[in-house]
Amino acid sequence: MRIAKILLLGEIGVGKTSIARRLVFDQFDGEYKATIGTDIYRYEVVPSPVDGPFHFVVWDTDGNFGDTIFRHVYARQADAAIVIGDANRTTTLETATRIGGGFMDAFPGRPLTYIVNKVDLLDPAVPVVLPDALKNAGVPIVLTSAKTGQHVKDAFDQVAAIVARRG
Amino acid sequence: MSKTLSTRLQPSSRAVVELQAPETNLLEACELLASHGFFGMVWLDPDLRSTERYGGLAELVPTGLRVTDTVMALWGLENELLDLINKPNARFEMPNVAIANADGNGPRLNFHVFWLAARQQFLLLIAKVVSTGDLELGLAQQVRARMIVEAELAQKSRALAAVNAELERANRDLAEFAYVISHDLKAPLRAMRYLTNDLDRVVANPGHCDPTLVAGQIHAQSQRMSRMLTDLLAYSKIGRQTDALAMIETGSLIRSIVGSLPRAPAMSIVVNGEWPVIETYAAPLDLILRNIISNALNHHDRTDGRIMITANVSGRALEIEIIDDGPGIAPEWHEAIFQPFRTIASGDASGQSGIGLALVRKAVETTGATLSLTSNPSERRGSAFKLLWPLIIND
Repeated sequence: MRIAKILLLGEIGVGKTSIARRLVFDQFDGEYKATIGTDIYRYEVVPSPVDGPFHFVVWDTDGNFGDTIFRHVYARQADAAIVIGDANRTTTLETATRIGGGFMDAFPGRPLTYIVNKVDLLDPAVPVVLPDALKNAGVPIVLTSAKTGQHVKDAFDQVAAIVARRG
Repeated sequence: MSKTLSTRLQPSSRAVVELQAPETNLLEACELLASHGFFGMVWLDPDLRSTERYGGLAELVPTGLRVTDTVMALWGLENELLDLINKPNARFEMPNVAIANADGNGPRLNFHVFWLAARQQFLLLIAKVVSTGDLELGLAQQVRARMIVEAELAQKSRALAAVNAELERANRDLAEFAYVISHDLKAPLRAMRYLTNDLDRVVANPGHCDPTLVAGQIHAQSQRMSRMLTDLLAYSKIGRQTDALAMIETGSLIRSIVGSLPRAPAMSIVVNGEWPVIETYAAPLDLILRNIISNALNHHDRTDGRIMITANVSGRALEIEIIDDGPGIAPEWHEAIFQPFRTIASGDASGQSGIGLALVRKAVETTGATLSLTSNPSERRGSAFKLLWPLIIND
Protein backbone atom coordinates (compact mmCIF):
# COMPACT_ATOMS: atom_id res chain seq x y z
CA MET A 1 0.00 0.00 0.00
CA ARG A 2 1.25 3.41 -0.87
CA ILE A 3 2.49 5.67 1.91
CA ALA A 4 2.60 9.48 2.00
CA LYS A 5 4.29 11.53 4.68
CA ILE A 6 2.23 14.58 5.66
CA LEU A 7 3.65 17.32 7.88
CA LEU A 8 1.37 19.24 10.22
CA LEU A 9 2.95 22.64 10.77
CA GLY A 10 2.00 25.87 12.54
CA GLU A 11 2.55 27.96 15.64
CA ILE A 12 2.18 26.56 19.17
CA GLY A 13 -1.42 26.17 20.27
CA VAL A 14 -3.16 26.44 16.89
CA GLY A 15 -4.54 22.91 17.20
CA LYS A 16 -2.21 20.68 15.18
CA THR A 17 -2.54 17.75 17.59
CA SER A 18 -6.30 18.28 17.91
CA ILE A 19 -6.63 18.17 14.13
CA ALA A 20 -4.60 14.95 13.95
CA ARG A 21 -6.53 13.28 16.74
CA ARG A 22 -9.87 14.36 15.29
CA LEU A 23 -8.80 12.91 11.93
CA VAL A 24 -7.39 9.61 13.18
CA PHE A 25 -9.41 8.86 16.31
CA ASP A 26 -12.39 11.20 15.91
CA GLN A 27 -11.62 12.54 19.38
CA PHE A 28 -11.21 16.00 20.83
CA ASP A 29 -9.49 16.73 24.13
CA GLY A 30 -10.08 20.28 25.38
CA GLU A 31 -7.03 20.20 27.61
CA TYR A 32 -4.01 21.68 25.89
CA LYS A 33 -0.82 19.66 26.02
CA ALA A 34 2.16 20.88 24.01
CA THR A 35 3.75 18.46 21.57
CA ILE A 36 7.42 17.97 22.30
CA GLY A 37 9.38 16.62 19.34
CA THR A 38 6.90 14.98 17.00
CA ASP A 39 3.94 12.60 17.19
CA ILE A 40 3.27 10.20 14.34
CA TYR A 41 -0.20 9.02 13.32
CA ARG A 42 -1.21 6.56 10.64
CA TYR A 43 -4.37 7.26 8.68
CA GLU A 44 -5.81 5.38 5.76
CA VAL A 45 -7.35 7.51 3.04
CA VAL A 46 -9.24 6.62 -0.11
CA PRO A 47 -8.93 9.61 -2.41
CA SER A 48 -11.09 8.06 -5.14
CA PRO A 49 -12.25 4.63 -6.36
CA VAL A 50 -9.66 4.89 -9.10
CA ASP A 51 -6.69 5.74 -6.92
CA GLY A 52 -7.38 3.19 -4.19
CA PRO A 53 -6.48 3.52 -0.55
CA PHE A 54 -3.13 4.63 0.77
CA HIS A 55 -1.59 5.46 4.10
CA PHE A 56 -0.96 8.90 5.38
CA VAL A 57 1.80 9.03 7.96
CA VAL A 58 0.91 12.29 9.68
CA TRP A 59 3.79 14.02 11.45
CA ASP A 60 2.39 16.31 14.12
CA THR A 61 5.36 18.57 14.85
CA ASP A 62 6.35 20.71 17.81
CA GLY A 63 5.12 24.26 17.14
CA ASN A 64 8.35 25.57 18.59
CA PHE A 65 10.23 24.66 15.41
CA GLY A 66 8.76 27.48 13.33
CA ASP A 67 10.70 27.92 10.09
CA THR A 68 13.56 25.72 11.33
CA ILE A 69 11.46 22.57 10.87
CA PHE A 70 12.66 22.35 7.26
CA ARG A 71 16.25 21.79 8.42
CA HIS A 72 15.21 19.04 10.82
CA VAL A 73 15.19 15.30 10.24
CA TYR A 74 11.45 15.26 10.93
CA ALA A 75 10.74 17.08 7.68
CA ARG A 76 12.81 14.87 5.38
CA GLN A 77 11.05 13.41 2.37
CA ALA A 78 7.71 15.02 3.16
CA ASP A 79 5.10 14.42 0.49
CA ALA A 80 2.81 17.27 1.55
CA ALA A 81 2.19 19.77 4.31
CA ILE A 82 -0.84 21.15 6.07
CA VAL A 83 -0.07 24.45 7.75
CA ILE A 84 -2.47 25.46 10.49
CA GLY A 85 -3.37 28.83 11.98
CA ASP A 86 -5.86 29.87 14.66
CA ALA A 87 -8.81 31.83 13.24
CA ASN A 88 -8.92 33.86 16.47
CA ARG A 89 -5.25 34.89 16.44
CA THR A 90 -4.23 36.82 13.34
CA THR A 91 -0.54 36.50 14.15
CA THR A 92 -0.74 32.71 13.89
CA LEU A 93 -2.26 33.07 10.41
CA GLU A 94 0.60 35.36 9.41
CA THR A 95 3.07 32.81 10.81
CA ALA A 96 1.27 30.05 8.91
CA THR A 97 1.70 32.01 5.68
CA ARG A 98 5.41 32.35 6.37
CA ILE A 99 5.84 28.65 7.22
CA GLY A 100 3.87 27.73 4.11
CA GLY A 101 6.26 29.85 2.05
CA GLY A 102 9.17 28.03 3.71
CA PHE A 103 7.66 24.66 2.79
CA MET A 104 7.25 25.72 -0.86
CA ASP A 105 10.89 26.77 -0.94
CA ALA A 106 12.12 23.54 0.72
CA PHE A 107 9.84 21.16 -1.20
CA PRO A 108 9.02 22.83 -4.52
CA GLY A 109 5.94 21.49 -6.23
CA ARG A 110 4.70 19.41 -3.32
CA PRO A 111 1.11 19.92 -2.15
CA LEU A 112 0.40 22.47 0.53
CA THR A 113 -2.92 23.31 2.21
CA TYR A 114 -3.73 25.93 4.81
CA ILE A 115 -6.10 25.14 7.65
CA VAL A 116 -7.73 27.99 9.55
CA ASN A 117 -8.76 26.22 12.74
CA LYS A 118 -10.99 26.98 15.75
CA VAL A 119 -13.71 28.61 13.66
CA ASP A 120 -16.21 27.35 16.25
CA LEU A 121 -14.97 30.15 18.51
CA LEU A 122 -15.81 32.87 16.00
CA ASP A 123 -19.00 34.88 15.98
CA PRO A 124 -21.07 33.21 13.23
CA ALA A 125 -22.48 36.58 12.27
CA VAL A 126 -19.06 38.05 11.53
CA PRO A 127 -17.21 36.94 8.39
CA VAL A 128 -13.76 35.41 8.87
CA VAL A 129 -11.01 37.93 8.17
CA LEU A 130 -7.85 36.40 6.72
CA PRO A 131 -4.53 38.19 6.13
CA ASP A 132 -4.05 39.26 2.51
CA ALA A 133 -0.82 37.26 2.24
CA LEU A 134 -2.69 34.09 3.16
CA LYS A 135 -5.58 34.78 0.78
CA ASN A 136 -3.25 35.65 -2.09
CA ALA A 137 -0.83 32.72 -1.65
CA GLY A 138 -2.62 30.62 -4.27
CA VAL A 139 -2.92 27.71 -1.83
CA PRO A 140 -6.15 25.94 -0.80
CA ILE A 141 -7.56 27.20 2.50
CA VAL A 142 -9.91 25.09 4.62
CA LEU A 143 -11.79 26.49 7.62
CA THR A 144 -11.98 23.82 10.31
CA SER A 145 -12.92 23.13 13.88
CA ALA A 146 -11.09 20.26 15.54
CA LYS A 147 -13.57 20.62 18.38
CA THR A 148 -16.67 19.95 16.27
CA GLY A 149 -14.86 18.07 13.50
CA GLN A 150 -16.02 20.58 10.90
CA HIS A 151 -14.14 20.10 7.58
CA VAL A 152 -11.16 18.32 9.18
CA LYS A 153 -11.54 15.19 7.06
CA ASP A 154 -12.27 17.33 4.00
CA ALA A 155 -8.90 19.05 4.39
CA PHE A 156 -7.01 15.75 4.41
CA ASP A 157 -9.12 14.31 1.58
CA GLN A 158 -8.22 17.35 -0.47
CA VAL A 159 -4.51 16.77 0.18
CA ALA A 160 -4.92 13.06 -0.56
CA ALA A 161 -6.52 13.86 -3.93
CA ILE A 162 -3.62 16.12 -4.89
CA VAL A 163 -1.01 13.59 -3.71
CA ALA A 164 -2.81 10.84 -5.66
CA ARG A 165 -2.89 12.96 -8.83
CA ARG A 166 0.81 13.63 -8.58
CA GLY A 167 1.45 9.89 -8.48
CA MET B 1 31.44 -13.50 12.70
CA SER B 2 32.17 -11.25 15.60
CA LYS B 3 31.60 -7.52 15.51
CA THR B 4 31.84 -4.93 18.21
CA LEU B 5 29.36 -2.11 18.29
CA SER B 6 30.30 0.46 20.84
CA THR B 7 27.97 3.38 21.15
CA ARG B 8 26.88 5.84 23.75
CA LEU B 9 23.13 5.78 23.73
CA GLN B 10 21.22 8.85 24.78
CA PRO B 11 19.29 10.58 26.11
CA SER B 12 17.26 7.94 27.88
CA SER B 13 20.06 5.55 28.64
CA ARG B 14 23.00 6.56 30.73
CA ALA B 15 24.78 3.36 29.98
CA VAL B 16 27.54 2.87 27.52
CA VAL B 17 26.46 -0.35 25.94
CA GLU B 18 29.09 -2.63 24.62
CA LEU B 19 27.31 -4.90 22.24
CA GLN B 20 29.37 -7.99 21.49
CA ALA B 21 27.66 -9.72 18.63
CA PRO B 22 27.91 -12.97 17.54
CA GLU B 23 24.22 -12.97 16.81
CA THR B 24 23.65 -15.94 19.05
CA ASN B 25 23.92 -13.57 21.95
CA LEU B 26 21.68 -10.93 20.44
CA LEU B 27 18.62 -11.79 22.48
CA GLU B 28 20.70 -11.51 25.61
CA ALA B 29 22.04 -8.20 24.32
CA CYS B 30 18.51 -7.06 23.64
CA GLU B 31 17.49 -7.84 27.20
CA LEU B 32 20.46 -5.80 28.34
CA LEU B 33 19.33 -2.95 26.12
CA ALA B 34 15.79 -3.23 27.39
CA SER B 35 17.04 -2.94 30.93
CA HIS B 36 18.52 0.42 29.89
CA GLY B 37 15.24 1.71 28.52
CA PHE B 38 15.46 0.22 25.07
CA PHE B 39 12.28 -0.67 23.38
CA GLY B 40 13.53 -2.98 20.69
CA MET B 41 15.87 -3.72 17.88
CA VAL B 42 15.24 -4.71 14.30
CA TRP B 43 17.48 -5.95 11.52
CA LEU B 44 16.59 -4.43 8.18
CA ASP B 45 17.72 -5.44 4.72
CA PRO B 46 19.02 -2.71 2.42
CA ASP B 47 15.52 -2.52 0.91
CA LEU B 48 14.35 -1.83 4.46
CA ARG B 49 12.40 -5.03 4.84
CA SER B 50 12.59 -6.46 8.29
CA THR B 51 14.29 -9.84 8.36
CA GLU B 52 14.60 -10.43 12.07
CA ARG B 53 13.17 -8.63 14.97
CA TYR B 54 13.36 -9.08 18.66
CA GLY B 55 9.82 -8.08 19.35
CA GLY B 56 9.78 -9.91 22.65
CA LEU B 57 11.23 -6.73 24.01
CA ALA B 58 7.85 -5.10 23.61
CA GLU B 59 6.71 -7.25 26.46
CA LEU B 60 9.69 -6.17 28.53
CA VAL B 61 8.71 -2.54 28.10
CA PRO B 62 4.94 -2.52 28.40
CA THR B 63 3.91 0.19 25.96
CA GLY B 64 1.07 -1.42 24.06
CA LEU B 65 2.94 -0.97 20.81
CA ARG B 66 4.65 -3.63 18.72
CA VAL B 67 8.24 -3.08 17.65
CA THR B 68 7.27 -3.34 14.01
CA ASP B 69 4.73 -0.54 14.46
CA THR B 70 7.56 1.78 15.32
CA VAL B 71 9.25 1.24 11.97
CA MET B 72 6.51 3.48 10.62
CA ALA B 73 8.64 6.40 11.76
CA LEU B 74 11.23 5.43 9.12
CA TRP B 75 8.80 5.52 6.27
CA GLY B 76 9.88 8.06 3.71
CA LEU B 77 13.43 8.19 5.04
CA GLU B 78 14.90 5.58 2.72
CA ASN B 79 17.38 8.02 1.18
CA GLU B 80 18.77 9.05 4.57
CA LEU B 81 19.25 5.40 5.57
CA LEU B 82 20.81 4.32 2.30
CA ASP B 83 23.33 7.15 2.71
CA LEU B 84 24.68 5.25 5.72
CA ILE B 85 25.94 2.43 3.54
CA ASN B 86 28.77 4.56 2.24
CA LYS B 87 29.57 6.14 5.60
CA PRO B 88 31.34 3.75 7.96
CA ASN B 89 30.57 4.34 11.63
CA ALA B 90 27.82 6.83 10.79
CA ARG B 91 24.43 6.55 12.36
CA PHE B 92 21.05 8.02 11.64
CA GLU B 93 19.30 9.45 14.65
CA MET B 94 15.78 10.68 15.06
CA PRO B 95 14.94 11.76 18.57
CA ASN B 96 11.71 12.20 20.46
CA VAL B 97 9.11 10.59 18.26
CA ALA B 98 5.83 9.36 19.66
CA ILE B 99 4.03 6.70 17.70
CA ALA B 100 0.30 6.84 18.28
CA ASN B 101 -1.15 3.49 19.21
CA ALA B 102 -4.75 2.35 19.01
CA ASP B 103 -5.94 4.53 21.89
CA GLY B 104 -4.15 7.60 20.58
CA ASN B 105 -1.22 7.45 22.94
CA GLY B 106 2.17 5.88 22.46
CA PRO B 107 5.65 5.66 23.85
CA ARG B 108 8.08 8.47 23.09
CA LEU B 109 11.07 7.01 21.32
CA ASN B 110 14.55 7.75 20.06
CA PHE B 111 15.63 6.00 16.86
CA HIS B 112 19.22 4.99 16.09
CA VAL B 113 20.02 3.26 12.78
CA PHE B 114 23.45 1.76 11.96
CA TRP B 115 24.72 0.04 8.85
CA LEU B 116 26.66 -3.11 9.65
CA ALA B 117 28.78 -3.76 6.56
CA ALA B 118 29.86 -7.25 7.59
CA ARG B 119 26.24 -8.30 7.86
CA GLN B 120 25.08 -6.04 5.04
CA GLN B 121 22.08 -4.99 7.11
CA PHE B 122 20.77 -2.04 9.01
CA LEU B 123 20.38 -2.33 12.73
CA LEU B 124 17.56 -0.23 14.14
CA LEU B 125 17.74 0.42 17.87
CA ILE B 126 14.67 2.00 19.43
CA ALA B 127 15.09 3.61 22.82
CA LYS B 128 12.19 4.62 24.97
CA VAL B 129 12.34 8.23 26.13
CA VAL B 130 11.16 8.51 29.67
CA SER B 131 8.13 10.75 29.26
CA THR B 132 10.17 13.56 27.80
CA GLY B 133 7.04 15.48 26.92
CA ASP B 134 5.61 15.17 30.39
CA LEU B 135 8.94 16.02 31.96
CA GLU B 136 9.38 19.11 29.83
CA LEU B 137 5.81 20.19 30.39
CA GLY B 138 6.14 19.53 34.10
CA LEU B 139 9.38 21.48 34.15
CA ALA B 140 7.83 24.35 32.22
CA GLN B 141 4.90 24.38 34.62
CA GLN B 142 7.25 24.33 37.59
CA VAL B 143 9.31 27.16 36.12
CA ARG B 144 6.14 29.14 35.51
CA ALA B 145 4.83 28.42 38.99
CA ARG B 146 8.19 29.42 40.42
CA MET B 147 8.18 32.67 38.45
CA ILE B 148 4.72 33.45 39.81
CA VAL B 149 5.79 32.64 43.35
CA GLU B 150 8.96 34.72 42.97
CA ALA B 151 6.97 37.65 41.61
CA GLU B 152 4.51 37.40 44.50
CA LEU B 153 7.40 37.07 46.94
CA ALA B 154 9.11 40.14 45.50
CA GLN B 155 5.86 42.07 45.78
CA LYS B 156 5.38 40.97 49.39
CA SER B 157 9.01 41.76 50.08
CA ARG B 158 8.55 45.29 48.75
CA ALA B 159 5.39 45.70 50.83
CA LEU B 160 7.24 44.38 53.87
CA ALA B 161 10.11 46.79 53.26
CA ALA B 162 7.61 49.66 53.05
CA VAL B 163 5.95 48.54 56.28
CA ASN B 164 9.36 48.20 57.93
CA ALA B 165 10.31 51.69 56.80
CA GLU B 166 7.04 53.03 58.18
CA LEU B 167 7.59 51.09 61.40
CA GLU B 168 11.10 52.47 61.66
CA ARG B 169 9.78 55.98 61.18
CA ALA B 170 7.07 55.35 63.77
CA ASN B 171 9.67 54.04 66.21
CA ARG B 172 11.81 57.09 65.56
CA ASP B 173 8.80 59.31 66.20
CA LEU B 174 8.04 57.38 69.36
CA ALA B 175 11.61 57.73 70.62
CA GLU B 176 11.50 61.40 69.78
CA PHE B 177 8.17 61.75 71.52
CA ALA B 178 9.48 59.95 74.60
CA TYR B 179 12.46 62.29 74.64
CA VAL B 180 10.18 65.27 74.38
CA ILE B 181 7.98 64.06 77.21
CA SER B 182 10.90 63.17 79.44
CA HIS B 183 13.01 66.20 78.72
CA ASP B 184 11.07 69.16 77.46
CA LEU B 185 7.99 68.81 79.65
CA LYS B 186 10.30 68.52 82.62
CA ALA B 187 11.58 72.07 82.10
CA PRO B 188 8.42 73.89 83.24
CA LEU B 189 7.87 71.27 85.97
CA ARG B 190 11.40 71.84 87.20
CA ALA B 191 10.84 75.60 87.12
CA MET B 192 7.62 75.19 89.14
CA ARG B 193 9.43 73.01 91.70
CA TYR B 194 12.12 75.68 92.20
CA LEU B 195 9.46 78.38 92.44
CA THR B 196 7.44 76.45 95.02
CA ASN B 197 10.69 75.97 97.00
CA ASP B 198 10.99 79.75 96.95
CA LEU B 199 7.42 80.04 98.29
CA ASP B 200 8.30 77.59 101.10
CA ARG B 201 11.28 79.68 102.01
CA VAL B 202 9.35 82.93 101.92
CA VAL B 203 6.97 81.48 104.55
CA ALA B 204 9.96 80.89 106.89
CA ASN B 205 11.79 83.97 105.76
CA PRO B 206 9.43 86.68 104.52
CA GLY B 207 12.26 88.69 102.98
CA HIS B 208 13.47 85.87 100.82
CA CYS B 209 11.50 86.89 97.70
CA ASP B 210 8.30 88.51 96.48
CA PRO B 211 5.60 85.77 96.78
CA THR B 212 3.26 87.56 94.35
CA LEU B 213 5.97 87.57 91.73
CA VAL B 214 6.77 83.88 92.35
CA ALA B 215 3.09 82.92 92.16
CA GLY B 216 2.85 84.74 88.83
CA GLN B 217 5.86 82.80 87.55
CA ILE B 218 4.32 79.49 88.64
CA HIS B 219 1.16 80.46 86.77
CA ALA B 220 3.18 81.29 83.65
CA GLN B 221 5.02 77.97 83.77
CA SER B 222 1.78 76.03 84.22
CA GLN B 223 0.34 77.88 81.23
CA ARG B 224 3.43 77.02 79.22
CA MET B 225 3.11 73.37 80.17
CA SER B 226 -0.58 73.37 79.29
CA ARG B 227 0.23 74.89 75.90
CA MET B 228 2.90 72.23 75.29
CA LEU B 229 0.48 69.44 76.14
CA THR B 230 -2.17 70.93 73.86
CA ASP B 231 0.38 71.17 71.06
CA LEU B 232 1.53 67.60 71.68
CA LEU B 233 -2.04 66.45 71.37
CA ALA B 234 -2.34 68.29 68.05
CA TYR B 235 0.94 66.73 66.92
CA SER B 236 -0.21 63.21 67.71
CA LYS B 237 -3.46 63.75 65.81
CA ILE B 238 -1.82 64.68 62.51
CA GLY B 239 -2.07 61.83 60.05
CA ARG B 240 -5.01 60.35 61.88
CA GLN B 241 -7.47 63.01 60.85
CA THR B 242 -10.11 61.95 58.41
CA ASP B 243 -10.61 65.08 56.36
CA ALA B 244 -12.54 64.79 53.14
CA LEU B 245 -11.09 65.96 49.85
CA ALA B 246 -12.61 69.29 48.82
CA MET B 247 -12.20 71.84 46.05
CA ILE B 248 -10.00 74.52 47.59
CA GLU B 249 -9.31 78.00 46.24
CA THR B 250 -5.68 78.24 47.29
CA GLY B 251 -5.70 82.01 46.67
CA SER B 252 -8.50 82.48 49.22
CA LEU B 253 -6.77 80.12 51.62
CA ILE B 254 -3.47 82.03 51.61
CA ARG B 255 -5.25 85.40 51.93
CA SER B 256 -7.21 84.12 54.90
CA ILE B 257 -4.04 82.82 56.59
CA VAL B 258 -2.12 86.05 56.00
CA GLY B 259 -5.07 88.12 57.22
CA SER B 260 -5.35 86.18 60.46
CA LEU B 261 -1.73 86.41 61.61
CA PRO B 262 -0.91 89.32 63.98
CA ARG B 263 2.19 91.28 63.04
CA ALA B 264 3.92 94.62 63.54
CA PRO B 265 2.62 97.38 61.26
CA ALA B 266 5.94 97.63 59.42
CA MET B 267 6.04 93.87 58.73
CA SER B 268 4.71 93.25 55.20
CA ILE B 269 3.55 90.04 53.59
CA VAL B 270 3.39 89.97 49.78
CA VAL B 271 1.51 87.21 47.95
CA ASN B 272 2.34 86.61 44.27
CA GLY B 273 2.07 83.98 41.56
CA GLU B 274 -0.52 81.46 40.43
CA TRP B 275 -2.90 80.13 43.09
CA PRO B 276 -5.16 77.56 41.43
CA VAL B 277 -8.33 75.85 42.60
CA ILE B 278 -7.41 72.25 43.46
CA GLU B 279 -9.07 69.22 45.01
CA THR B 280 -7.11 68.59 48.17
CA TYR B 281 -7.12 68.36 51.96
CA ALA B 282 -7.44 71.91 53.24
CA ALA B 283 -6.51 71.37 56.90
CA PRO B 284 -2.90 70.14 56.49
CA LEU B 285 -2.17 72.72 53.77
CA ASP B 286 -3.51 75.47 56.04
CA LEU B 287 -1.45 74.09 58.96
CA ILE B 288 1.78 74.01 56.97
CA LEU B 289 1.47 77.49 55.46
CA ARG B 290 0.21 79.06 58.69
CA ASN B 291 3.06 77.67 60.77
CA ILE B 292 5.83 78.56 58.33
CA ILE B 293 4.57 82.13 57.92
CA SER B 294 3.90 82.45 61.63
CA ASN B 295 7.41 81.21 62.32
CA ALA B 296 8.86 83.80 59.96
CA LEU B 297 6.94 86.56 61.76
CA ASN B 298 7.65 85.37 65.31
CA HIS B 299 11.36 84.84 64.81
CA HIS B 300 12.04 87.99 62.85
CA ASP B 301 14.63 90.08 64.65
CA ARG B 302 13.27 93.42 63.47
CA THR B 303 9.91 95.16 63.63
CA ASP B 304 10.09 95.91 59.93
CA GLY B 305 10.51 93.14 57.44
CA ARG B 306 9.12 91.50 54.36
CA ILE B 307 7.78 88.03 53.69
CA MET B 308 7.28 86.99 50.04
CA ILE B 309 4.89 84.14 49.31
CA THR B 310 4.79 82.86 45.73
CA ALA B 311 2.95 79.96 44.17
CA ASN B 312 3.27 78.28 40.77
CA VAL B 313 2.05 75.05 39.27
CA SER B 314 5.10 72.92 38.53
CA GLY B 315 4.41 69.58 36.91
CA ARG B 316 2.25 67.50 39.23
CA ALA B 317 2.75 69.81 42.22
CA LEU B 318 1.88 73.27 43.42
CA GLU B 319 5.18 74.91 44.31
CA ILE B 320 4.88 77.44 47.13
CA GLU B 321 7.89 79.49 48.28
CA ILE B 322 7.91 81.46 51.53
CA ILE B 323 10.92 83.76 51.70
CA ASP B 324 11.60 86.06 54.62
CA ASP B 325 14.33 88.59 55.34
CA GLY B 326 14.76 87.59 59.00
CA PRO B 327 17.98 86.55 60.74
CA GLY B 328 18.08 83.20 58.96
CA ILE B 329 18.58 79.68 60.30
CA ALA B 330 22.09 78.26 60.63
CA PRO B 331 22.56 74.95 58.76
CA GLU B 332 23.16 73.03 62.00
CA TRP B 333 19.58 73.91 63.00
CA HIS B 334 17.95 72.90 59.72
CA GLU B 335 17.06 69.46 61.05
CA ALA B 336 16.51 70.31 64.70
CA ILE B 337 13.85 72.95 64.11
CA PHE B 338 11.49 70.29 62.74
CA GLN B 339 11.61 68.33 65.98
CA PRO B 340 8.99 68.98 68.68
CA PHE B 341 9.84 71.79 71.12
CA ARG B 342 13.14 72.62 69.43
CA THR B 343 13.58 76.32 69.05
CA ILE B 344 16.66 78.36 68.36
CA ALA B 345 15.58 80.81 71.07
CA SER B 346 14.52 79.29 74.40
CA GLY B 347 10.83 78.54 74.78
CA ASP B 348 10.54 81.11 77.52
CA ALA B 349 12.17 83.82 75.45
CA SER B 350 10.16 83.25 72.28
CA GLY B 351 6.87 82.59 74.02
CA GLN B 352 6.38 79.64 71.63
CA SER B 353 6.29 75.96 72.52
CA GLY B 354 8.41 75.05 69.51
CA ILE B 355 5.95 72.54 68.10
CA GLY B 356 5.03 74.52 64.97
CA LEU B 357 7.61 73.20 62.49
CA ALA B 358 7.28 69.67 63.94
CA LEU B 359 3.59 69.87 63.06
CA VAL B 360 4.61 71.08 59.60
CA ARG B 361 6.95 68.17 59.03
CA LYS B 362 4.43 65.61 60.15
CA ALA B 363 1.73 67.12 57.92
CA VAL B 364 4.16 67.13 54.99
CA GLU B 365 5.03 63.47 55.52
CA THR B 366 1.44 62.34 55.84
CA THR B 367 0.21 64.13 52.71
CA GLY B 368 3.01 63.14 50.33
CA ALA B 369 4.24 66.75 50.02
CA THR B 370 7.89 67.74 50.22
CA LEU B 371 9.46 70.66 52.03
CA SER B 372 12.95 72.08 51.72
CA LEU B 373 14.73 74.87 53.55
CA THR B 374 17.44 77.13 52.22
CA SER B 375 19.13 79.45 54.69
CA ASN B 376 22.65 80.34 55.79
CA PRO B 377 23.01 83.45 57.94
CA SER B 378 26.78 83.49 57.45
CA GLU B 379 26.19 84.30 53.78
CA ARG B 380 22.99 86.34 53.79
CA ARG B 381 19.93 87.11 55.87
CA GLY B 382 16.64 85.35 55.45
CA SER B 383 15.21 81.88 54.97
CA ALA B 384 13.42 80.25 52.04
CA PHE B 385 10.98 77.38 52.56
CA LYS B 386 9.84 75.60 49.39
CA LEU B 387 6.75 73.41 49.62
CA LEU B 388 5.81 71.03 46.78
CA TRP B 389 2.16 70.21 47.38
CA PRO B 390 0.78 67.32 45.26
CA LEU B 391 -1.96 68.39 42.84
CA ILE B 392 -3.32 64.84 42.82
CA ILE B 393 -3.92 63.29 46.21
CA ASN B 394 -3.94 59.51 46.40
CA ASP B 395 -6.12 58.25 49.21
